[in-house]
Amino acid sequence: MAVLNDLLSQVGGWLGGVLRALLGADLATIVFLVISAGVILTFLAACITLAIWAERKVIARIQDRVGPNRVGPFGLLQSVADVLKLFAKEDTIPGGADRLVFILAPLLAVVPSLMIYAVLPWNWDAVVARLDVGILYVLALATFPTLAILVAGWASYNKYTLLGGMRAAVQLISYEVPEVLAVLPVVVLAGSLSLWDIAAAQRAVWFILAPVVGPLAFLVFFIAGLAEINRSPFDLVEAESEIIAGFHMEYSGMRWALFFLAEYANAFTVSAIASVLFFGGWHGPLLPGYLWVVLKTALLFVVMVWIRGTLPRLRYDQLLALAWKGLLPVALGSLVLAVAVRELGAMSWHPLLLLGINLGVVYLLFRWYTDLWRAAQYRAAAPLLEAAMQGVRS
Amino acid sequence: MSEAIYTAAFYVFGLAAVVGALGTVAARRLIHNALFLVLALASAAALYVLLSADFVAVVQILVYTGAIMILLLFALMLTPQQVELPATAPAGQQLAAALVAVVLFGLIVAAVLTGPWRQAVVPLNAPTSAPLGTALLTTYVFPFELVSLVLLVGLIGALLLARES
Repeated sequence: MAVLNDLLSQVGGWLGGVLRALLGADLATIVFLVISAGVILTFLAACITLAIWAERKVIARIQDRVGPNRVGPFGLLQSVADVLKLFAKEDTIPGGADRLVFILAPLLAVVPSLMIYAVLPWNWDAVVARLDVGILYVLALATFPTLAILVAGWASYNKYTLLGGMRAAVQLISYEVPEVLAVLPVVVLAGSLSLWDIAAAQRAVWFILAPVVGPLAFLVFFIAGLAEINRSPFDLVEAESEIIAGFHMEYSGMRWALFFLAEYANAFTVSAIASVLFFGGWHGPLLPGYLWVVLKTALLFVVMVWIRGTLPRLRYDQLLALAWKGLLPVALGSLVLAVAVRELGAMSWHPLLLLGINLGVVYLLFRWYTDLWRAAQYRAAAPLLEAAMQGVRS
Repeated sequence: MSEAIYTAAFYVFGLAAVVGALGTVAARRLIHNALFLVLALASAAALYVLLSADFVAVVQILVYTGAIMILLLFALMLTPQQVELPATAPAGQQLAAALVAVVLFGLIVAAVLTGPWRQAVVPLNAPTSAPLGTALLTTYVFPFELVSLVLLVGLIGALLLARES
C-alpha cells in the first residue's frame, strides 16, 4: 500500500533525476513542469470524456430514460464519437463578427480553467506548484472564463449572444462575493491560503465537520460555485427558452467544443476545490491519497448532475436575490462563526460530537427549507382556494 | 532557477505589458481597449511574480478582471455595437493630454533614476501573505482602516445616488 501511496512522487522523483542527468538543472525543471502539465491535461481530458458520459447517463436515469447506449459498451464511446463529429464540422465565423476577438474568446475560456490544476494537491507529496496563495490563485483564474463568455457574446455580433454574455458578467459579479467569503472560514480554520496546507490541516477532522461553520460555508461555496460556472440551475447564460443558446450560439465545431471543455473543466475545478477545502483533500482510509481526491471530486460532480436533474432554472430576480439576500449574509455569518470556532478550539473536540452538531444543523436547515417551501405553496394556492370557497358559498 | 530564465521572463512580460498599455490607448474599439488592458494588467502581475510578490500578483488579477468586466459592461451599454471611435480629439484636449503625459513621464523617469533602490541580487522567493497581513493589522492599521473608510463612503454614496428620490 505504501508503494502505491507514494506512486506519484516516486515516478516524479525518478523522472526528475533522469532529466537532471540528461539536461542540467535549469532545463530539467522546465521540461519536468511541461511533462507534469501534459500528464495532468491528458488525465483531465480523459476525466471530462467520462464525465460527459456519466452526466448523460445519470440525467437519463433521473428522467426515466436509458441515455447513450449505442457506441461502445454502455455507450462509453459516445463522447469520443461526439468529438470526432465536432472535428469534422464546418468552422463558421459570422460576417459581422470581430474576427480576432471571436477566435481568441474560446482560448481565453479554456487556458485559465486548465491553469488552475497547477496548484491542486493530488496527494501530500504530489502537487505541481505548492503556491502560498493557492486559493487566491484559483479564485483569480476562475473569473477569466466569464470574461471570455462576455467577450464571445460581444464578438459574435448577435443580440442573443450579447444578452448571454452580459448575463454571465452580472452573475459573476454577484456570486463572486459570497464565493470568496465562503472560502474565508476555511482559511481562518487552516491558518493558510495554500491549498496544500489547507488539506494537510484536515488530518484529524475534515472542515465540513467544523461545528455549524462547515456545512454553511460548504453550502454557500457550492451554490456560488455552481452559479459562477453557469451550471444548472444557474444556466441563464444559455437559457434555451429565452435566448436560444446564449453566448455560444454562433460558435461551431472545435471552437464550440473548447467552450464545452472549459465548462466541464470548471465543474471539475469547483468539485476538486470543494473536496480540498471541506472534505480533507487526500485524507481517507485504505486507498492512496490521489484516488481519494479523484473519488471525492467525482462524487461532488455527480451531486452537481443530480442538482441539474432536479431543479428548474432560476428566474433572473431570484438569481440576484439569492446571491445578495441569501448567500451573502450566511457567508458573512459563517466567517464570524469560524473565528469563534478557532478561538474555542472546537476542531479538537471529539469527531462524533462534531458530527452530531452538524447533523442537527443540517436537519434544522432542511426543516426551515421545507417550511419555506410549504408556505410558498400555500401562498400560491390561496387565490385558488378563495375562488373555490366563493363557488361553494354561492 | 537561473538568472537567464528570470531575465528572459522579465523581457517577455515587460514587452507584453508595454504592448498592452499602448493598445489600451491606441485601439479604436472600446472592447479592444479593455482586452489590451487585461493584457497589460496580467503582464504586470507576472512581473510582480518575478519580484517574489506572489500575494500582490494574485490579488491584482483577482481584483482587476472583475473591474474590467464592469468596465466592459459600461462600454457595451454606453456605445453602439462595433463602432470605431473617432481618432482625433479637439485640439485643446490633445495639447493638454500631451502636456500631462510628458510631465508625468518626466516625473516617473526622474523618480526611477534618483530613487534609493535597494537591489536584491537574488529573488527572495518567500511567501509574502503572512508578513503583509501582520503589517496591515499592526504597524499600518490606521491607514488600512482609513482606506476601508473611503470604500465605505463610496458605497454609501453609490446607494444614495441609486435610491429613487
